[in-house]
Amino acid sequence: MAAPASRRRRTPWWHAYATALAILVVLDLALRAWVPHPLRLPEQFSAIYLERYVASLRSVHAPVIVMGDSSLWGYKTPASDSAPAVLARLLPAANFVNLSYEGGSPVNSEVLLRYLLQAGVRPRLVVFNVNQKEFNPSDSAFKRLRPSLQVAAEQELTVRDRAELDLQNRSAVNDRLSDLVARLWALYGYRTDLREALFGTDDMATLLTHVAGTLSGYTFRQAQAEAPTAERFLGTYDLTPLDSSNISYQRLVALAALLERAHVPAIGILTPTNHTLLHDYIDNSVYVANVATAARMLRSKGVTTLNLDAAIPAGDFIDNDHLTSEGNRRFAELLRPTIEEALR
Amino acid sequence: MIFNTWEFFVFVAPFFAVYALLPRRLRGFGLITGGLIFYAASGVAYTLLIVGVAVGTYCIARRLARVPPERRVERRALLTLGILLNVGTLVYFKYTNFLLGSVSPILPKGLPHALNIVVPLALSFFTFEFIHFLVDVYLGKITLVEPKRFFEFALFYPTLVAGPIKRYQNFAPQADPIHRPHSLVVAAAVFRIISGLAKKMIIADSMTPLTQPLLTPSQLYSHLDYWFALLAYTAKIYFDFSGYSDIAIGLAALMGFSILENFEAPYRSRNISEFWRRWHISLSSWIRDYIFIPIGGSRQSKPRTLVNLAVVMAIAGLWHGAAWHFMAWGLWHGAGLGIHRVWSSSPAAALSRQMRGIGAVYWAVTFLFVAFGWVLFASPTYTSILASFTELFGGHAF
Repeated sequence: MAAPASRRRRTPWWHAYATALAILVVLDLALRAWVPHPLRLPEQFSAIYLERYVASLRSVHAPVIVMGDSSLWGYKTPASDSAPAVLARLLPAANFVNLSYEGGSPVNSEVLLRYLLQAGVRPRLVVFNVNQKEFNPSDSAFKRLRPSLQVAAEQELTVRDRAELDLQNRSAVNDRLSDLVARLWALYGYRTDLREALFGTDDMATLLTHVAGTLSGYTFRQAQAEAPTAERFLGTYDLTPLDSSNISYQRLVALAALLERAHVPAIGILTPTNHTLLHDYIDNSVYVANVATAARMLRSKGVTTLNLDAAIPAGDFIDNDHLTSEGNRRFAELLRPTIEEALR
Repeated sequence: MIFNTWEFFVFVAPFFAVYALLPRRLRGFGLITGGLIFYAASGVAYTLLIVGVAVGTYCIARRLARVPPERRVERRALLTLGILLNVGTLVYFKYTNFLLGSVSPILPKGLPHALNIVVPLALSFFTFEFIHFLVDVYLGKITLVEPKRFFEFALFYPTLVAGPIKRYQNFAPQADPIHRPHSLVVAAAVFRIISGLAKKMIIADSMTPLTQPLLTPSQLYSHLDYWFALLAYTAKIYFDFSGYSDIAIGLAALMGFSILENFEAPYRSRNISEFWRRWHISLSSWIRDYIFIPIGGSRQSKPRTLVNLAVVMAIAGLWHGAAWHFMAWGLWHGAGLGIHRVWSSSPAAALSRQMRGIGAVYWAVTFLFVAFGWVLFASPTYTSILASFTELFGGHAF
């Protein structure tokens, strides 16, 4: 018995560190191989996840890429109820890839398409939405690039992009270090995606607030206080005539031009909007003209344009432009014939 | 530099790599250099300030240590000068705008109502440590004053940001020489740091949204929301502060130093005096030793003792932040300590101690007293304090 005991004592101290390192390396390799293709992007997707997801799309046969904002992502609805997920069920032969996200806009779609094409993804069809509110300079997505897209597509960003767009300043040591570690260590890089995959989007603070708010009735009172009223959306839509001085519109033109140059068939959807709620603010000649301007420009670049601006009844909306599950189903039904036609 | 940031990790990882390799005689210089780099990350100008105040304090203390006790006037003058240097720096940087804002209604037109002053990192902590050093040199409790040892003490970065407020007599012997910590101490220190980070980032930060009703009262919140906020803030402030102290104590242990505990399950206290023996121990003992006892402590008449308690707790309140609501919080605790002092010497208290289950009642009263105190601490204005208390007690503030 003495010999094994002395052998145990002689075990070098670095064995523990080496074992820990080996476990981390194996975990890292496993995570690098793990690139799930969900019904839509995670709410807080990381740059590393986007990079790997896009790289994996090279091997997807003739994908139908959906790009846009929260109305295509399926805001406040389960992923399976979002319009692209419904379309995927309706058209099982098409490989739908929903790359839309909250905070999407023409600026984001244009950079994302450049990034996809540069990464070697060859879409069979691109479906994107055009939301009039994103032409409003006071909209948060007007010229702001999603930070994770900014990091993933950093090589694609031109001098003009850097001058024109609202980019996150990532020059701080903290950000640089975080980006570097995320690239070297998958567990760190995927932390937000993993957390969302394992626990959903709620963190402990959100969960606690929700439980306390439900018990005290605050959640209900807040929902009532924030119920959509027309006044809440005052200023959401910029009612000046749309022209090339508008950066968001410039990027929509660039997106259409890029699709044309790359010979990628595309469908541009003029986003369903709640006309009953917003009647006083958008049922006027300037808004109608702006919708027509965007549609005309897209058609001139060969993009099939589907004007669904007033196509969905008010009861199918959560607010001004986000749809209920039923609204998403109706939205998908309206898109289906055009997509089928484009894929034929 | 805050402990739960990447910047700190970038600093601390190479620091420990170098520190571990340094020969024993050079570790002190490692501490001083580390402290300077740590502080410089928050602004080079303020590093010069802390170094300047430290040099001034050291020179005065050194002179004090050499003046014989019979030259009392000179010794008192030196002590006063040292305290003025430290308190003056603290008052100028931390309280100028507070004072200007408080007297702004009576200030003549043309005079500034606020100055462009940024409070240097950890000013309140190092000021108190330097005053302790000066007073203890004056009292003869510290005799040997070596410059290297003093600067190791002054620039010891684990305790620089949020304490615990160190005592030189406890620190200096450990620096002579600085021993490599035992592997069990290292393991315990790493655990302490991790648990401190968890307290801060998982528990305390998760409570933050729940505390909103106390910060910005609104008609949307019900009475229950205010009670949730009260409990959440009570938990948040403890886990936040004690988590930070855990990280500081763990880091110090990795460097070979044992730092005094700052918290000892304060919410288990059964009276407010016990609470202050368990909460922010390094501050409460500092206040006791350097303010309460010098102004007479509890050796004078009962009314005078009660006034002394109110004064020191008001100062303790203002030390936490330059705003009247912090002073109100201090006075609340001063009143609590006074009431407890009167109660504990009364016949009723003696009788109550014989009752079964009285401990639970004492605990509940103490806990609620402390929790209500946090309303004064958290709510930034008197309007929000009044609204929070009204809602907590079933009234309608809106």
